[in-house]
This record gives sequence, C-alpha cells and structure tokens, in this order.
Amino acid sequence: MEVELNENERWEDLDHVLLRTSPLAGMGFTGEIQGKENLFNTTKILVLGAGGLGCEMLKDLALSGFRDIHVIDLDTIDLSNLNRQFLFQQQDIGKPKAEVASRFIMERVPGCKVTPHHCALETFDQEFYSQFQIVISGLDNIPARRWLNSMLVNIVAIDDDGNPDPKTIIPLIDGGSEGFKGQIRVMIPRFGSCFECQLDAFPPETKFPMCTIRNTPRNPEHCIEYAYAVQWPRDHENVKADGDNPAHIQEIYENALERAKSFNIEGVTYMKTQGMVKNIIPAIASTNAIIAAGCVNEAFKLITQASNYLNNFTIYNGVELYTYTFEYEKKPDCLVCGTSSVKYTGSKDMLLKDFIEFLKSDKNFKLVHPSIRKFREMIYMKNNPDTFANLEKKMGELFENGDELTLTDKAIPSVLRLKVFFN
Amino acid sequence: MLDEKSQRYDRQLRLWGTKGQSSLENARICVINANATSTETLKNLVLPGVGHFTIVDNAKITSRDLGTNFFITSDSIGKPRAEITKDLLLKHNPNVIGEAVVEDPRALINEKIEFFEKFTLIIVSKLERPLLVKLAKKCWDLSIPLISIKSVGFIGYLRIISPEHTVIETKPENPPFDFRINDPFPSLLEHCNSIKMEELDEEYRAHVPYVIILVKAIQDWKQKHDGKLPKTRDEQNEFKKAVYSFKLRNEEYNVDEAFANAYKAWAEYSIPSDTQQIIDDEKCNQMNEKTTPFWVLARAVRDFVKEEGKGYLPLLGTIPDMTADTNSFLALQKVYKDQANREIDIIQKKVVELLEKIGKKPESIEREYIELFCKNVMNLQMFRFGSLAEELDPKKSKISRYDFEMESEGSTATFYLYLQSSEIFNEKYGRYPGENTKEWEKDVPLLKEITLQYSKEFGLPETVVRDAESTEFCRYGNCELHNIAAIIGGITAQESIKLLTSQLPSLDNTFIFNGTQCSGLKLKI
Ligand SMILES: [Zn+2]
Repeated sequence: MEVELNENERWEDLDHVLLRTSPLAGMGFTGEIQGKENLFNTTKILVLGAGGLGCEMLKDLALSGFRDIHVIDLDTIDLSNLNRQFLFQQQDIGKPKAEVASRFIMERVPGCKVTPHHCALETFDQEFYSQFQIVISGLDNIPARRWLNSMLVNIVAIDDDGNPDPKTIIPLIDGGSEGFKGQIRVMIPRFGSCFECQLDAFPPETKFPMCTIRNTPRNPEHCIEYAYAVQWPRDHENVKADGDNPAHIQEIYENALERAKSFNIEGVTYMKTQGMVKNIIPAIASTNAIIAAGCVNEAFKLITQASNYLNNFTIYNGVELYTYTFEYEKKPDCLVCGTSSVKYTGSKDMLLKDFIEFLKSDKNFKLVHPSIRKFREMIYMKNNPDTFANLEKKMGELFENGDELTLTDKAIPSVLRLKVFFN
Repeated sequence: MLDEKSQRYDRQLRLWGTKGQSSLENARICVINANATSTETLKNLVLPGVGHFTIVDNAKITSRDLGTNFFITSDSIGKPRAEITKDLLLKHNPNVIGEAVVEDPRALINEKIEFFEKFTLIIVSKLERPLLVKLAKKCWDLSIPLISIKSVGFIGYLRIISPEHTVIETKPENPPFDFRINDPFPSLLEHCNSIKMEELDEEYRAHVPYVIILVKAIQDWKQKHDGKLPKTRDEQNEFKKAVYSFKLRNEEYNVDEAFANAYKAWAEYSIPSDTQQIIDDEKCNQMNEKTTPFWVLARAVRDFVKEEGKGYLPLLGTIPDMTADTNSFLALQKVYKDQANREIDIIQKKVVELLEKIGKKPESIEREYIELFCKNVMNLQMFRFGSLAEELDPKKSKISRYDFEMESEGSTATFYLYLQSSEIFNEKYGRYPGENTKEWEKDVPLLKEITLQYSKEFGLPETVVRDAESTEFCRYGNCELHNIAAIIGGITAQESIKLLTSQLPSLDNTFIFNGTQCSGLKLKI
C-alpha cells in the first residue's frame, strides 16, 4: 500500500526549533509561524561551489527548509571526486558539477528548487548577487573567495552619515577543509571582519630554497621540485605543466626519479609527484560533512533566529577532536572593508615596475595584475601599451607626496584607493 | 598511471595510505536505527569504501523521516527504513556491500545478542538506555568497539565505549626527534669525529649538518665540565656562544641552525610519558596466547630499555631535513638508519623469544610491524575509554571532576547532564522531554526536577541546573535536525576510521557538539 507524503508531518523536527522558543533562542525570536514561512517561501540562498563542501551544503540546505537555492560551479566531474562528492556517480564523470548536483537534490527532496550555474563567479554582476539573502561558500581557492567577499562588501549601501543600510547586507558564510580539519566562519559585511581582513588565517605556502633544489637535494620533494620547476620549463618553453595531463605528470615523475637515483635518494613516487604538481589537498567525506553542516546550521540560525549565530570563526580539528571558537577582529586598514584609507610609504627612486611587483608579492596586497590610475590619468594599464613606458620611471617622477592612486585588479571586483608617501 | 580504485580514493589514500584503506575494506560495521544521524555516518563510511555494513531497524518510513533523512525517497513512505536507506546508500559506492536486517533491535539485544558478535564496530543511535547498557556490556566483553551517538535539537553527542584501543601511527603534527646529541651511539660519534671542521674548505664547511656541529660542541663542553651538560641559563648561553664560534663566514647557515637548535644538545633524554605508561602497563607482564602484537612489542621494548638500551628506547632512525649538501646529509641519515636497524634486530630477537614462550609462531609478527612500532615508539598511544556501567554509577563516574561552576548559561557541558537526565525522564514517563506533546512547556519543571536529582546524586552543585537549559532541552522534544545529524555523522565517521585503521588518536571518551554556539567539548567521563 502506497502511503502519501504528509507535508505537515514532514517538517515536524524543524518545527520544534521554529515554532517553540526558549531563553536560549536568538534575540527577538518569537517562535511564530511567520519565521517558518519566511524560511520556506521567501529566502533565496546562493551556494558557491558544488564540490566536496558544496554537495553537502546543498543537501543540508534542502533538509533545513531552504527551497530556493542557486549554485555556481565552473568544474566538471572527475573520478577522484567520487570518494566524497556524493551527489556524483560513475556515469556523471565529465558532466558539469552544478547541473548534476542540482538535479540530484531536486529529485530527492520534493519542493526544493535548485538553479545551477555552470560558470565562473566573475560572470555575474552586483545585480545578480544582490538577489540573495545569504551567500554560503564551499570554494577551495582563495582568489575566488576574495573576489566574492569584495563584491558583497561593496553591495552594502552606506547612508550619508556613513552607516550601512541593514537591508543591503548579505552575510557570507565560508567553509574550508583539509584532511581531518576545517573551519567555519560567518562574515557580516561592514559589521564584522571580512574575508580580506582574515587573509592571514591562511598559512604561507612552503617554498624550497632554489640553491637546494639545484645543487643539494636531500629528499624526494627536492627532486620533484627540480623536475617540475627547473627541468620542465627548460624542456618545454611555451607549455605550462598541466597537473591534469597524465603525460605531463609521467614525464616530471620520470625526471624526478632519475635525478633521485643519481643522488641516491629514495622515495620519489608517481603519487607524490602528482600531489606536488597539482598541489593536491587531501580530502575526505566526513570532514566536508562536518564543515558544510556547520555552515548551513549558521545560515539556518541567521535566517530564522532560532538560535544565536557564530561570531565569527570556528576551527575544527578532527585529529585531536576539538573546536576553537573566537572572534576574528576587523582590520581598520583592510583593503576591502577598511574605513581608513590604505597608505603606502616608500622610496622616490623605486621604479614603477618594482612597485607593481611589490603589490603582487606583499602579503597585505597579494594583487594579481594591478592597473594604476592617478585621478583620471592612466599610469599603467596592463592592456594599454601606451602606458608601458611608465614602468621604467621612478615613483617620484610619477607621483607627488600624498597622491591618491586608484588600483583595479582581478583579485577584487572593487576599486582600491591607496595613498602614496615618500620617505 | 594509476588504476581506477587508486584514482577514486586518491584524496583519502594521501591521509591513511593503502594499509589504512585495506583495514577499512576489511571492516564489518553494524548500525542500529537508520535515523538521519546514522545514515549520515554511514554515507561518510560508504564513500571511502568501508567493506561491509549492516543496518538493523524495523521502523517503517514516515513523512517525518523525509524531512531529516537524505537517504529516503518520497515514494518510499510506509516501507522498511532499513531496506530503503541501505539501497540508497549503496548507490554511492559500488565497492561496498550492505545488508538490511528488518528486525526490532530491542528483540535482537534481548533475545539474540550473539547476532552482534560478527562485527568489528557497532554504531548505535538513539537507543533507550537499558538496551544500550545491555549491548554495551556484550560488546565490552567481546572487545568490539561501540559508538553511541545522538542528535537532539541543536545538541549532538558521541561516546566511544571499548576496553582498550592502541595506536602506533598517531601521526603527531610535530614529530618527535631522536638525535642522541649529548650521548651519541658509537657509530654516530665516530662519524662526527671523522669530520674535521678545521680542515674543510669553505664550501664543505657551510654544508656540515648542524647535528654534527652540536655533537662536537657538546663533547667539547662535557670534556671541560666533568662530563656535565649546560644546566643553568648562564651555562646554556655560554654553550650557545661556543656553538656560534663555529661560524667563520656569513653563508654558514648550518651554524645558525645549530645555534637555534642548541637546546637539543643540553636536553636530557626522557621517554615520553605515553610510551612510559605503555611499557609500565600490567599487560606487559601478562603474556599469553591472546596477547596482541602491540603488547608483545611493548614488552620487547620494555626489556630493551632495561637491557641493551640502557635507559633509551630503540632509536627512531629518521632525521628531518636540514642545511647540508646531498652527500653529508645522506651519510648522516645512513648512520642513524643503520643504528636503528641494528636495534630493530635486537627487538626482533626479543619478539621471537616472547612468541615462543606463548606458543605462537615467530612469523606471526612480521618485521614490517616491528619496524613500524619502533619508528613510532616515541608517539605510541593507548586509550581505555571506560565502560558505560562506570559512567552511570555515581560512585565511579568521573563527571564530578568537571567544574560546572564556571559554566555560563547555555554552555556545552551543561547539556551533558540533560542528555543523561532525559534518559531517566524517558524511563519514568515513556517519552523524551517535550516529545509528542503540544503542551511541551509542562515538561520543563519535570525535566528540571529530574536533572536536579541526577546532579545531586553525582555530586554536582545545584546551581548547574537552570530554567534556560531545561526549557531549551524540552523545546527540542528529542527532534533530529539534519545539520546536527550531519555534524555528528561526520565526527562519528572520522572516529570510526581512526578506530578501524588504528591511525590517529581516538576521542577518549565523550564529545558534545553545541549547535547554538558552533563549538564542541571533549569530556572524559
Ligand atoms: Zn575587511
């Protein structure tokens, strides 16, 4: 006998925290039906990434009463995704992640609408992002998250007194995972610290000294790095080594192995080579499940006020099994959300090209390829050869003490203002 | 090129290796009650390729399941929950075998408890306490680890129950070092003496590994100080100065390293406390045919420390990267490795003797295992999780050691008390607090009273029981929120993987996740 689905009974578990209140519920929470209706009928949420975290987030949202979900992902499905990205199966390999994930959720959870976008974040403008009440990110790369963070900070309207308009604030919830560990953060643009304020939370990449790589390798990593960073560019002038191309990995592996043999070093393997070239981060289903559900739980609390939300950072360590929760402070001179303008002090004699290199490498800027204007005047534009002559000029020739420069860069969608001073 | 399975599991093989993977594939897991917390746990074990799972559940699917449990389809209402969840879970990994037992777990525990003997791990979600106690006792006697899990509203709970779990590969973030700088073994001393710093040309001098510089410096120091190590701050500074005097040219970064690591030269050798505890354990004295390889090794190491080792554990035999040219580094590496191998030979001999004494074949413990044990001898860990019976006994429970006075309203530790008292509530009223009732608020004073009684019995101050948490817990009415179920499912899967692969330290013994604060708390009860 077929038994019919009863919609009221279906959400009984959620009803306990939506329609009952307690002194520990969120500020202003009354437990009235409007809260539930708001969640079910008017909330629109955006998920970034349909990978390890994204798949979990979509499932968690659908079972938390969110019914209008959008998801953006540029990737297609690969065999190595299947150990954790559980909305994908063997027959989906090669298909767009956003589309397969959306279809799975809609088939499994009746009444939930998921709209897939198989493209890059940068495809969309401010108008698109403004339609959501919350953005939740399961992205694994820093540049995309920086870009998106800047977008959300800039969406906030500021009134004449300098106060942000609460109606334009779109909270950003960000999850990250690596091995048995991860982190959950809730960022309220203009109120708390933003992703850019928190860039220091990422450890710097490990780099091997070049002389060790060239002259005194001592372990397999040194040999692989030589085959990858020295031999490959020497043998293939115009082809970048591609971590997804097995022939490339094979060649780097063989070169590394040969070098290791000549130095009597053991331990170079194909797997290790691939890991280094592709910069593979170990990933498992369980960690993604924990971090994604932690993020969606925060989204649920933010929207419904059924309980207080996280302020603003939780580190999860599944090796020792502990969590650590703290407030990451807002940086007054943050490039994206800072109120005081960013200052740069340097030498008059520095060449513009070296200044640009500084903007790329300095940990406070980490720009990709900045273009520079002074008021309306173009100083350097990466696509405008007329400006290239300025590269060899000294800073003192181009600018006066206290000049305000505007920088644009693909790392962040907004314009960056920087005041230059000479010492 | 890699085969299909290595590619599928690539991202996890980088964490636990092929050995960990095959342990996972040999596991047989039993899960009781296919609620969301259980199926989320199972999903996270099916994906990485656990060998075999069995779901025991006689419930029929309701509309309510569909709101919390992802492994249920809307057309399956009224069907057996064990069957449907098993089928849907299996779709996520063709390498896994799954089985549904549509039987009342209560009946199995009460009448056919031997059913559970065939499993390597049992996970129980939301089973009433008297049954859990009975099952836990059975598992304890058979040494089958049992994990009890629960999600109630915004609160999640996880408890590992098992007499003992030993881990060799704890994989510490900062691996221990074992250089023996101030008491070098003969071949190390000989190697260091063979390098004459004053005779080396500039290039070679800058590439002498810092360990060698420190061995030389500390030998020199000991000669001048009656064989004593630098003890006081002043002496240590003087020693550091002596180390720095090796530096002739700016480029000698190896001397900078020696300077920065000078403390390793005066640090007295000591056996890490976890390892000491293991080799001092009573189990090392009770060798019999049931003794596990771990304890045979622990005994062999204990004897080594007393005899050949003269107070030292077997040498680790690995050294971290340091400034050096290739040949100097490899030569030093070899000195350590060779010595470690000689000591492993001694350990192996002891292992063979021990095995003979207990009537086992010498090859029942492989060389590979002995090597692994010795390489990790400084970071071994042993867990004795404590029984459920102990936890529930006011005279034996460790809960009174916890300082509840410091806890603020809504804090995580307080919810432990409510998880316990709600079981007593259920035994008394036949339902969990706030469950199946429109007048849920009437349960608040009842729950508060029971929690107060529980606290008194366990020697906790009355002040820990408040209206706020009592109301919050009744508000939950034993409901399952998917997010909390997913978090507990994730943590349970991680802990299961750790237990099954014998890698990484285990949770000892309780973890509470507090979804109102996005934080968790570990308790040893
Ligand atoms: Zn900021």
